[in-house]
Amino acid sequence: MLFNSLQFIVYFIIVTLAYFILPHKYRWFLLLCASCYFYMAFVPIYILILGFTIVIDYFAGILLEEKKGKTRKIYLIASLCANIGVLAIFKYYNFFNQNLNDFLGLLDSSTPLPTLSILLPIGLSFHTFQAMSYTIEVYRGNQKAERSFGIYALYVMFYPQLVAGPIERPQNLLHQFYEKHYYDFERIKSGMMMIAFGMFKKVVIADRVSIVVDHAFGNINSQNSLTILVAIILYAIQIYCDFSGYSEIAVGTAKVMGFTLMDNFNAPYFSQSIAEFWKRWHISLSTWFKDYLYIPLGGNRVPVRQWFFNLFLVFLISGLWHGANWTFIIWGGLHGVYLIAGILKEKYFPSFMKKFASFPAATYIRMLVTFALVDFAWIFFRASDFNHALQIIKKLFVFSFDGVLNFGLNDNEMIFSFALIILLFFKEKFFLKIDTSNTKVFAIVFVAIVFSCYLFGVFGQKQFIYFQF
Amino acid sequence: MKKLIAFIVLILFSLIYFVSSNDSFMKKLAPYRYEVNAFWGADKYRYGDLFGFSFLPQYKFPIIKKSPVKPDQPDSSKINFYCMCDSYVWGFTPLDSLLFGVNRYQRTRWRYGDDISVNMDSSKINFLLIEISERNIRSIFNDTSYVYSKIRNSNNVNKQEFSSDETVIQKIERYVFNPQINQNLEFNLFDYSFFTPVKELKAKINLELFGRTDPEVKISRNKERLFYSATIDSGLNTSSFMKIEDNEIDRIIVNLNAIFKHYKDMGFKFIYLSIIPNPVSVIDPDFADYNMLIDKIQNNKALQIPYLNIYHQLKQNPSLYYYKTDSHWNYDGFELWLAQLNKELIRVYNSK
Repeated sequence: MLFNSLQFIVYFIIVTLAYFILPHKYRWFLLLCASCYFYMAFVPIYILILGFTIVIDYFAGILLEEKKGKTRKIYLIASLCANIGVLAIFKYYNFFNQNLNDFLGLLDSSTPLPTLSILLPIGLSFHTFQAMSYTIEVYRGNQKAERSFGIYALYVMFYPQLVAGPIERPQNLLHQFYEKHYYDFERIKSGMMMIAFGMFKKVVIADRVSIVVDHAFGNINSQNSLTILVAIILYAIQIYCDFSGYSEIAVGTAKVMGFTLMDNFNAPYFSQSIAEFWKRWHISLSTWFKDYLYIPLGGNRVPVRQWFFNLFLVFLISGLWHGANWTFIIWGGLHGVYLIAGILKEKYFPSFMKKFASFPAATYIRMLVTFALVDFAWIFFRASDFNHALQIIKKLFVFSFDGVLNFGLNDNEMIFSFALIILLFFKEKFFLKIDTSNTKVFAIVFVAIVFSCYLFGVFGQKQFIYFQF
Repeated sequence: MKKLIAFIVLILFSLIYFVSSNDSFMKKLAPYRYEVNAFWGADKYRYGDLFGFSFLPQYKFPIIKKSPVKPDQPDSSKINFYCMCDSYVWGFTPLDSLLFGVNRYQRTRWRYGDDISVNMDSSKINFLLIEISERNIRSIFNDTSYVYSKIRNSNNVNKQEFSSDETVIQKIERYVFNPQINQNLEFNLFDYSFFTPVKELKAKINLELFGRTDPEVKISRNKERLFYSATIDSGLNTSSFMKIEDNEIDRIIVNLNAIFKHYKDMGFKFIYLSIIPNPVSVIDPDFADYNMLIDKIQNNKALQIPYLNIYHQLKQNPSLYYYKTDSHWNYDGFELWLAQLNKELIRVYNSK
């Protein structure tokens, strides 16, 4: 069930109304059933995979709390292996098998392993990581094991964030299922506004600029450097509006029912360095990797070489998390290299960096350079394979401007798209919040946004980009 | 009070969701709402399916329905008429009263799970019509086994083999997770005559400001009518303008001959092919480089199956036979085809 579908809107109304009508003690059960239905609306049978990880981690949590000594570590490892095993089979098996085959092909041999014809269960990486954070936190003693199987299942399956995050921590979410959420009109208005604005970002901006991006990247040979450059810039906008739009709908949906989920974005394209970018982009994932991989590896409290290795490794794995394709690994690797280069720059050119900082336009130059680096890496994220990415880069850097400019949108729509993007950035730069405390203003703005979504939205039930992960 | 209102709204939306999940109810509801001239009436197909996709107000022409002329029937009906068809013929019901000398009439629709089993009655003339629109030829006749599955001999077939026999789990799954639910919800929530002006406003903004229409629709070169995009987009095999190689034509001919032989062996005495041209192939073949698919099949010397040649008749007066805002022919186009079919049925009837 896609957030940008009528089915979701009607489903959301039904679930939310039922949630407030039902007595508190039955609400968790309603949310669990609703979440199961939400997930099964994609491919019903995949609920079994989700069920498998839920059962494993539920019992692992209890055993981790009850046992002492080395046994705990064994249970933790077993639980993590089960989770990673599911990911390995459903997401990475065919990728590794293909690469092994390619390698053995060089030696005139081939792997006897069959290729599995399986679809990737939607949002697998998201809910697996959320489940893993639970067992790790129980192991660390930061979270008590959840004794209610239903509540634990709901923690993994809570429908607003089930398929594309935010990846929550048990300390933030689990206790909220026990709290009684009263009908609060102010909170509902605020949540509804988030949903409307997230929808606007998705259907009016992301899906509109995706026409330019798909047009350019789908037909590289008939493009010139300018159309490719515009498409690359617009892809950065598309993926941001698509994913942050999704996150706002998720957070808003939960908020209407009284739940608080973590913010996933904080104006990332205003970052002045790659390190800052990762504090503002997909915050729930970057903090997950920081808490559960980077710091356990030693973080920056290790010799410099080891530190750089840790950074690079974390970003390679982060790339692989996104998808079983070399393009994602390269994308992650590039970010790792950017981060290391940023550290080296500060270390070896401190006086230059100090002088540069006093330059009046330094902030904007930093932002621009950071955006350019991030955007260059997006080429690999968007490309269907490595050769496609190389084709895009070649086309970009031949600086050929021959041929008729064709963006896939007419001039008016291109101007309209850029006007929307400028407005969005203006809102984010100056932290403009839509005031919902005045009900009349809320009603007018809400209706205006919804009506704009309808009038200017590009509909076609385009899936959210991050659903595939 | 708040709780009561919430409860009423909950019941209302649950009912809408429940109804929208139920295909059989929707099938009954939709024709009624398309027919009725009231504020709860639906406009989606009132002015043609292409208007229903695009909602462009300048292409809002009502669909005029006529009663096709019925042929003079003989004293006894001795033709058992079977038909594989698509929406060009399916939309005109009941067809049996419009056909000459037909005793039994059974039909199945391409891409629908309504396959039929035939009990061959050798005392009658078994007649099979394979009707197909130009846009479906390349996909349907690429696979003979699919065509064979549409009509089977009931003496040789195990009932469980029929694709229309769903398991209980599949039925439940289709109901609970209905893949058509978004279209059904749109129909139940927003397909009302009073919403049409808003839809037209959106369509107008998109066309006049952004030069875009619904992706399913293309405007003709003279701006007088709408075409179905799938019949224009040269990247799709449904298009009149997608290049076709000789070896693909040869494969289609081989498959058609195999289908002809298969049904002859099954006991059909007369088998006819009828290709209905895409509107653009008749009205504006110069829109792009027309691939001449119909002529290439019908004029192929290796083709064994007899055919009804409607293409050249339609070409004689192109703008008469197709709606301006629908992807199908109008009643006049259908009648032209029906007359040709009845001519064959009379000939067949008198041949025994």
